[in-house]
Amino acid sequence: MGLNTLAVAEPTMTLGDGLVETAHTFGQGLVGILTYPAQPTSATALVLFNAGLTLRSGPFRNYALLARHLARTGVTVFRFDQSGHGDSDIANGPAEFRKREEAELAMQLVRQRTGIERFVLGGICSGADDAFALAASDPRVAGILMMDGLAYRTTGYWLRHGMRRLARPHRLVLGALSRLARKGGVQPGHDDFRDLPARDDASAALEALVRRDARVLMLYTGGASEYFNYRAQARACFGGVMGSPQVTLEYWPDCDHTFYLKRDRARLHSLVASWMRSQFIRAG
Amino acid sequence: MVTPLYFGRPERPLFGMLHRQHDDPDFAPTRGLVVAPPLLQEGIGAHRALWWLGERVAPDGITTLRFDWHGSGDSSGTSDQLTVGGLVEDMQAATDWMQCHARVGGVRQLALRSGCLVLLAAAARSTRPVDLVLWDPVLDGARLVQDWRRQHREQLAEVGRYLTGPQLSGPQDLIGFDVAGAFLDEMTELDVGTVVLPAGSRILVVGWHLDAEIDAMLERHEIDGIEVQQLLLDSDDRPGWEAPLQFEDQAFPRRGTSRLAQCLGEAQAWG
Repeated sequence: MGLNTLAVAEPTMTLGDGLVETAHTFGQGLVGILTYPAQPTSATALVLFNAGLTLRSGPFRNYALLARHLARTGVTVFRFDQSGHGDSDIANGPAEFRKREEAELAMQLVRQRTGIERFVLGGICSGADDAFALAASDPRVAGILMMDGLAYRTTGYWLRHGMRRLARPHRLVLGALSRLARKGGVQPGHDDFRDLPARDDASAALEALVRRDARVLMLYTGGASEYFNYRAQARACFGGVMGSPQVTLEYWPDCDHTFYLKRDRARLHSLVASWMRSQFIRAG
Repeated sequence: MVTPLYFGRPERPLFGMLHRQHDDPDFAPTRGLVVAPPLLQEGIGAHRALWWLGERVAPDGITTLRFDWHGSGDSSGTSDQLTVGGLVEDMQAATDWMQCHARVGGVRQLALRSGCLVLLAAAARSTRPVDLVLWDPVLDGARLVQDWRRQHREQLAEVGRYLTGPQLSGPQDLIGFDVAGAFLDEMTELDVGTVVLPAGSRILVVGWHLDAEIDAMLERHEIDGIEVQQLLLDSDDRPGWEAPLQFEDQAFPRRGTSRLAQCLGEAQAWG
């Protein structure tokens, strides 16, 4: 697929503060929304991937709100439904190839409409995993925004996990109730839904990103406690690369996985805006 | 195929998604369907099911417009701007768009869950007969608000959402959205079980079970001369709307949706 597959139709909506959003169909039945700032300050656009099965506006509409917040600070944002999600058609073919092709088309679309040629890829959960997987091999990717992205359980993780379970036995009861509510049986967990690289491969990919000066924001919330539960776990997982100036780590144990409370959405928006400003502000 | 679009007043633009059989400009479908999604979280959870419904009925020549309420999805506004009057306006704007721009012969309006509250409130203001499909309808605004508040308490404190224990929510936090108290007061006053519809209207109620409240509503409408139909879904795939541990799950009742699509496709009377 190439640029000629991009649809011409471009429904447009003008929001307050001079923001404009355009709706796009592209590729094989994909749908996305491009949010333009009134005054672009960054030559790097953010592309957001679906959080799990949730559509492109995000859990509790957080992607749409984040896009508009960032656009008010001068950042262009494109959020789209990967095939089989939201309003996008179902596609066949291996997931890895398909996701790469769809991300490629999304970046082509943004470049065609805005002239921007550098991108931050990001998302929550599986969206973060996709961003990580796609970033390594694409020099146009100047950064990744990983919200509850990949990590690996460590000895420190298991120690804390065990202590927490002992201190809060009602969680064991809650887990049992959860299984009953879902009609019994062994339920799929984090490891079943996410297609993660081996730990050493992930560390090497992160190092490669840093070597080419890509910027990385890794935010882990308390909602990732099934696999991440203390700040230093990131270094234990990925090694010394976590000390690189290109990598920013945040750990918010008091926040949930999908930013349920307004206060958490607000601090996320503030964090991402601040990070984008500090890492990708247009020179001159 | 799907086509995104914006419609509504310039100061209140709404995002819509049109499903139709094909992109032939000369193709004139005879049947239009406007779909009102549930409010707040159920609207997100049911999104793909409603997308699928639109795709399933398109080959039967039904052009479907799904849309996002003002303050939700890809429409303008924020959730703290929700008002009952605004929602009713959005419903009307979507229906007007379908009637004016999609070149359909007749328009049927379908709502799921809490969308039915808005649809019936809008229909009660109509001067022309309406053709409504109410899917697993919520008819009592006060009970809906109670449910939202219960769900909110459960999400904060009971389902293990927070690693560090229950969190304090802000004054307008409600089931993951920023919602004004005035809107909840309005919703509490909204009881559409007793609305009067224009003469010549039709109602199809679709559900996995039809309770006494729905029966009573249908009986009242029948007495008023409204044509009433029921479609009981015999599949066991009703989403766990009320289950706290399934709060963020995707609600995709595939067999129930297929049965509804089949019923719509076979309908003789329309609009």
